[in-house]
Amino acid sequence: MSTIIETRNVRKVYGMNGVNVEAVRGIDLAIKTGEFLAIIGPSGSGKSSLLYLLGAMDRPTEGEVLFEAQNIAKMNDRQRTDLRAKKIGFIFQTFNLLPTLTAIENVEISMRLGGMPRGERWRRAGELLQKVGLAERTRHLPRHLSGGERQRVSIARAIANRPLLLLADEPTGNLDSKMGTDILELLRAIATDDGQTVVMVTHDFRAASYADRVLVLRDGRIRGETRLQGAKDSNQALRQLLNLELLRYTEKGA
Amino acid sequence: MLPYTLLGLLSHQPRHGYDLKNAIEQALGGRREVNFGQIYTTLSRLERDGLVTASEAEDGRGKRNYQITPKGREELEAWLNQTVKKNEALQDEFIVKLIVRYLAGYGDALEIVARQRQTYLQQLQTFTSLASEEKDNEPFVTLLLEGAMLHLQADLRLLDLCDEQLEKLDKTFTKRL
Amino acid sequence: MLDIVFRNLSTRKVRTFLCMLAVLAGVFLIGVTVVMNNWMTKMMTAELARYMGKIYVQQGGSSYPPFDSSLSQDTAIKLLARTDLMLNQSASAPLIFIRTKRGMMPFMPADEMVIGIPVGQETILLGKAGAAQGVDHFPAGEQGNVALLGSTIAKQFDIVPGDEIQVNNVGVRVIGVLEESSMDSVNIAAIMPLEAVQRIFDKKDLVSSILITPNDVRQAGALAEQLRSEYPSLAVVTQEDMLAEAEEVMRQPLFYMSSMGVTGIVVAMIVIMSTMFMAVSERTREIGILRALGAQKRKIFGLVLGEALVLAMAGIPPAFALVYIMSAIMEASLPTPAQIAQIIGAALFAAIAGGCFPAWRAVHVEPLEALRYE
Repeated sequence: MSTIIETRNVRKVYGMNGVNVEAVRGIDLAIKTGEFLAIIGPSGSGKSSLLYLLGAMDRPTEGEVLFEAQNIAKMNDRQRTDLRAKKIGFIFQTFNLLPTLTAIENVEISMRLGGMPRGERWRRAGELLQKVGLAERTRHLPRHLSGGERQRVSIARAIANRPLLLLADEPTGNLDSKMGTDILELLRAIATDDGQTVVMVTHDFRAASYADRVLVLRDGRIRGETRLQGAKDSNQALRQLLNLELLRYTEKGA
Repeated sequence: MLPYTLLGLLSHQPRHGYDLKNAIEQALGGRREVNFGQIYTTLSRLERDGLVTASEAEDGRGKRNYQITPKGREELEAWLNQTVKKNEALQDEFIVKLIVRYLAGYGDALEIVARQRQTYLQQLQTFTSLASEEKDNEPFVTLLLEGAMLHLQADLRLLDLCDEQLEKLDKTFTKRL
Repeated sequence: MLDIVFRNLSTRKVRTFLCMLAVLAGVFLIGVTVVMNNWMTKMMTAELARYMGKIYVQQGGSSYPPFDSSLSQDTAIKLLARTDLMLNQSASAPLIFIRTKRGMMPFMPADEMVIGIPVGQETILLGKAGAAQGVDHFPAGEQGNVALLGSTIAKQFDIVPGDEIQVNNVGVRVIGVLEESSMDSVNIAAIMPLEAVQRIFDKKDLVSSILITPNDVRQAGALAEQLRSEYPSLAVVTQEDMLAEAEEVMRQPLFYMSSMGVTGIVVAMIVIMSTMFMAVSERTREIGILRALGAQKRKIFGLVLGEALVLAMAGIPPAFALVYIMSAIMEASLPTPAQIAQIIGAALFAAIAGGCFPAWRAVHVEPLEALRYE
């Protein structure tokens, strides 16, 4: 496993109305291929800013962001845009689908921008929508889709170009808990089955628990890191839950 | 809580031991098998304490029929009607531990918080994973799971608060001591 | 990206439609300018072609037709009698022009007129054109109130030979209806014997102009100069002079028309610009999304400009259709290919000028800001 992206003492300062806000205050982190990383923290902790720095959407005020060993901070707009087109996929809290395009068109356009040949684009768009469970909805406009469906289109769009990095900014923020769980499970599946490297920003602990590693951010700095081992013996868990001390985990009749 | 569960089931009607096992299994969606031995042990204890009585079945097959006693009913009602208190003084054990450590100068407080967070997150992960498996809504299991997860989330938020407050403490406390 | 352009435009149908209408109007106005220009040029050229090599001697201005010119018949006769001047006496004659009805538009000379010409010299004016009905010349020695009617007048009032018309409240008998002439002034005229016109309009011994045909067409200029030096009080008008005069007359209306056309294009440009500004502002978020997805700035620029161009181009065919209809009605010549290219160029200019600034603004949208935009 190699490091896909790492930051070295990266800082981001926003100047608004003459007041300077330090969103990110010197963060060092490294993300490995295939990792599912959650970045958790309260609002104002700088987690979204960090995400956008990782995603070449923004430039650091100081420090380095090394994507495949190349410093994003030193790239010009053209290079960063190219990176976003081909190697980075984004998922947003507010979905951000193009409202005048149908689901399948929304997915296709990211491949078009990524330089994929035409025939392959439409075919793959269809496949991706099927993969996220929206085979019946390819011709729908975003406004005719539910929040969960929109987010799924978003995910299909984001992974269309087989990006090295998939970045999610509060993907379940605008969804109710059931839809949110579906989306998280989809992300988990993509990370596990397809080996996709995922970085997710969230303020929801439950969402964070889907990841392999959780970084806790506060006031622009990393305050803690937890590695999650994957679900332990779930029988044991259920037993604790039920506190009955009498359940034996077998299927009936086994 | 098993004793009360059994008392509850018996308050409707007398049952055989095996009936009780089935009834609990049904409540949990019928997919899991309950350990009969444990039930039997608990029933014996209840009998000893005078909360249930046992009699031989008419069909003479040797199955014992259990019945709740008036004392048993009283116990049951008292337990059911008592509102659940999380714990007497509403104290969070972890927080108390934290305070004690801090006062005793025992170990890095922030480190403790981080470790506790690790534990909670890991537990949360286990439960979310369980929740995915248990998708086919067995209502009582769902409730227990969600309940646990909500508690964990609240505790995790509390840990964030601990971090915040500890930082303040650092500055004010050294003056006091 | 063209499909996105069309999708965007079709989503806001009303606005797109209104914008197209504005472009249509602008292009139409420019087209009208061109058509009017062509029409007036054609009219003038046809008129003046017949005067190649001819000279008009007038008093009081060199306009054509010389309604305001007046000189004594005596002077005319004396001039025409001179043999030392190199003029063709049989093809030269004094004429009188009376305007009986003013033209509708300021630059149109007249709607109806009466031309008086000496009997026997009608061919000077009419050339080889003959009569559609009746006779094409006055009977020899005729001095009565007879008239040869131009085709337009005859058609307009449905007059045939034998009818009597009223000229200045005097009854005049129509003895012939002429074929359509390339000279519009003939078409709208009632041609009568000189004496009859002088009588009816109380212009005894007066004429408007002396039409002179030089012996040698190439000597027209020299002859004109000679006449000018010998008759300093008279105006000697050659075809070149008339052309210059005509252009002078046309200048103001042409200027007005051009202004109209240019205004039309400027309005189209402003409408395109404001439409595109609105579009860009509404779609700030979409632009941000596209940038986040990896669209280069140039693509965004192209997208916005593309929309502007489509709007402009869409207004062109219907505008041309209207222009063609209009030129058919006016019997003017259709725009030439060069002119068509000019019109399309004007529309493109409107599109590009109108679209560039909004496109530039679109490009400078910061993706991060845009995505937070509601």
